[in-house]
Amino acid sequence: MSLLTNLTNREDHHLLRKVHDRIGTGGMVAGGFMLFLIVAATLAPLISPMSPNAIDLLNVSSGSTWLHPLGTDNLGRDVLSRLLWGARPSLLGPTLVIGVATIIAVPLAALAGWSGGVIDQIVSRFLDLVFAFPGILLAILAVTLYGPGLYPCSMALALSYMPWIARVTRSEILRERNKPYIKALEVQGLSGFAICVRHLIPNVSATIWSQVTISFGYALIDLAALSFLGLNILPPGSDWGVMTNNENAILQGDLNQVLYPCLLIILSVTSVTYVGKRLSDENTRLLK
Amino acid sequence: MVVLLLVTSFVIYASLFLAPGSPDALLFGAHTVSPAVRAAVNRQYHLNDPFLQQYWYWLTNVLHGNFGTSITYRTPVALRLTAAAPVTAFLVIYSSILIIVSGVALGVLSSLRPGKLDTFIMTATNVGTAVPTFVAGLILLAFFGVKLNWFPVYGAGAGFFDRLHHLTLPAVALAFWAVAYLTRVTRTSMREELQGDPVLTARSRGLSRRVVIQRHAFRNALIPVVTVAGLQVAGLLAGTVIVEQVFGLNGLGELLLTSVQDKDFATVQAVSLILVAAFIVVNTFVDITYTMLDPRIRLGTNQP
Repeated sequence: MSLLTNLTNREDHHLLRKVHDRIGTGGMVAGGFMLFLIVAATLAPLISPMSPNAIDLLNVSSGSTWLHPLGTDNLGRDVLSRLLWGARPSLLGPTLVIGVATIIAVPLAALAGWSGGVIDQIVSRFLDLVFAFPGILLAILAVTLYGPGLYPCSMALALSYMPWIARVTRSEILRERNKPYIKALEVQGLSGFAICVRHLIPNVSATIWSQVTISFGYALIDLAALSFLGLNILPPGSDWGVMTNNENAILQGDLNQVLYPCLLIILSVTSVTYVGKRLSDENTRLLK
Repeated sequence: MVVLLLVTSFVIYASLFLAPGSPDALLFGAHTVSPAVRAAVNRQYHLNDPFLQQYWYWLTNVLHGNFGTSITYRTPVALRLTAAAPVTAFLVIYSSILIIVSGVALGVLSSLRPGKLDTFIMTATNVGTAVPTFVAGLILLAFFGVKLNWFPVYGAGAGFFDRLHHLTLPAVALAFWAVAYLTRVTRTSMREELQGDPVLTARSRGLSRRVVIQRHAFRNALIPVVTVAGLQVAGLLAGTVIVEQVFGLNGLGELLLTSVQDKDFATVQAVSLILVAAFIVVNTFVDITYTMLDPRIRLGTNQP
């Protein structure tokens, strides 16, 4: 919260410099790349050269041509269009995962950190329990129960990412809780809830943001992997993970149709994690 | 640990009852059955008993090595497990060795040679941590399997050396992400130790560089490395699902995935339980290793 408001409250010409101060030139490049992907995904219906499922039987598994800038896959579908359309679930999915995870994690962490004692113990043990289930396994269990799809997969992953965000937030809140200004607010008679919502959580939000950013990258990887396994996005729908599930192309040596989605996954995850790491380095620096 | 194992087993068992519709409907899947068969199955799976009693039956059976009968294949689940487990175990152990040896070696190397080599390793690992397991698998498969034809692209092989040959690419793919991560952790930890007081003292006592690095820096740097390595190795179990799919291996992951598609819930429960139990056991093992490495840490103390 406060990161965003801090950034937007300042005058416009200071905005870029403020961002630059926080994440550096490399972070700007990485963030710019992500912004570019988001814009491209949003505009997919306008800018993609053809329909992602249109089949061009005359040009099957072709290399780059004027008609198909990134070639076609083994069904003759345009790779560039599929990448653009596939960017939508590929980026929306992790947003959903991390959004839900954060919405559950932050209040839980605030409750545990603020109350302490038995409640803290119970919440912490619960987090330990969720930790024992690898995210992919939880998603597979969810698919067994509710069938494949983005919704069961992302809800299961949200549950498994929740403890990561909750643990970091809780330990930050514990650190912040004992500061004099919080005591002062308590003495003034402000309720615990109000202190948490208005002061405590906004003040630890920098840490939450960096953890959220880093988790986003991992969620993108997990969702792509689930799509690859055929549990997440199902054909004819497509994301980058589905596009990589093309063993025929690999066995025949037609690499480009599989290479581009792989490359996009790697680049976007690298970018997101880099920004997240810069944010968290910045936080530790500011603490010192 | 025992408590955690019990609770997770309960969660896995209870998840059957979270499904929409009744449990027997889930067991039958798409098949339509006569009421007599339904009643027989309900009796066989104790579905008419109270829930906790059903869980108790299942748990005691599991502890005796009886994981029930696969509803789709009509074979005991335990048989299918024992057929699949060796491949996965081989893969995980092979991969763990790769992770620990190369992750620690690269990290130490990187910390001792600041400059170009360090920058190179750090850039490589930065990208490396962003490579999903299945992407690493696909690229290895395409390059070393198909293009160069050095390694087989399918199956797990028979006999130790053949299996080693077959599982090399999968193990590398599985290890890839973890090696990159472990390298970074080892490097950070080593650099902190190298700049710390114990190393300074050891140096001022005139000990050789080798002794200082081996006995003082490396040993103290190991604690965070063991934590992360343990978590990585435990995490590999979930990664096997993906790698086994890429390389067509009949391990536990493949079994889990086909059982999901067949709605074979008894098998899904059994495999999930094994994967989660292994994860918990490895983590506990890591905690024990801690106390051996650093006597200051004692189990059971609650740190905030």
